[in-house]
Amino acid sequence: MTLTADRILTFLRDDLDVDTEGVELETALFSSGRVDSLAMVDLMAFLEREGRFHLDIADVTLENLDTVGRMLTLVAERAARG
Amino acid sequence: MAEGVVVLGISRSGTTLVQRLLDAHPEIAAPPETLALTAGARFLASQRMGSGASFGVLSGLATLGVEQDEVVRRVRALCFGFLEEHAARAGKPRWACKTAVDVFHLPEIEQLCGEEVRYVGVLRHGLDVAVSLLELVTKTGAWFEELHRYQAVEPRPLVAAARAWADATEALLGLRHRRPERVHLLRYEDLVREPDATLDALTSFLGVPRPDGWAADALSRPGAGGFGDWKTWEKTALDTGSVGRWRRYDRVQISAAVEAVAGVLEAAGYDAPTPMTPEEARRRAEMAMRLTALKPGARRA
Repeated sequence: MTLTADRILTFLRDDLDVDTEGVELETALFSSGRVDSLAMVDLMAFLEREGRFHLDIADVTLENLDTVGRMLTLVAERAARG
Repeated sequence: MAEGVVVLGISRSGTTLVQRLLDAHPEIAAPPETLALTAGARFLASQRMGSGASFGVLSGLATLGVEQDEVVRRVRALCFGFLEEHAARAGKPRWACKTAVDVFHLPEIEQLCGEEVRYVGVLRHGLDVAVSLLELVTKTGAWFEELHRYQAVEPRPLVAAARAWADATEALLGLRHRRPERVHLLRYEDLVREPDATLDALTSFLGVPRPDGWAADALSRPGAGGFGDWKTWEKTALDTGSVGRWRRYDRVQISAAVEAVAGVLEAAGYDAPTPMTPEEARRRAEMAMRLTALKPGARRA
């Protein structure tokens, strides 16, 4: 199943109890404090599981993970890399 | 008076919900928690000494020539008496008694009540109970005395709560095994998912008719005051909103709780996630530390 913004937002809301009201593709999640570190770790595990790739410690940056849009870009890049 | 009903189960397993249902039944008076049986159980409790001797009221009074059965009979009459009087005042032929800590006094409760009552044990998924129990402790600002021994030896609160659930659940399963004719186990999850079938089974066990609109009536009644879990009063209908709450809890803590009580979860028929491997836990910690360093204002590593 393709990872979509809706699936990420549903996971945030239903599994991590994050208030996703008004969250858009470029809404800052971690740097804004909307998602805390522990929830981000769960979210990264979700991205790995759904995107079928492995995050390296160097991938853990705001540029890759601070918004839903950046997460989708990261997952797409990893899928293209194979 | 018809035989009483003793409702047993750990706090946050749905026992107050069951009490509300029973009290709305035209033949059953189920007051808020009275601690009447709890007090009787505590009275009968004894301590096993290193020598093997029992140090308690039964062996103490035995030295005066009072038979143990006579002591139990008198305590039973005292405890049941309050409940029978309450039922009579309510114009009902039968009482039901629920105090959530009673499950931790089960040997004495069983000694006290024996074959004189019917027992309803309420089961709920251990991880949901543990998560909810911590919420209860936080809101009340204290652990119940019955939980102290778990808290004293287990530094991880969720694991302590899960171990308490495991002991309570094993006690209920054991009671059912010893007294299959007198014990009915009711799952909270079944009650909210399939209320008709679950309430049919309960009334059949108790030998009472199932009133029309029973659950709706029970949940629309105002509270009677007294002790009990306030959370149930937020409910005006049976729903599944509290099933599987543990899935939204911190996974590291859930994993530790699963490791501690996996056997009882399985014995009680509940599913559980596979505990994290040490490597997974290490990697999560590393990721979390990396994230912390990314916080605006954090000192860059």
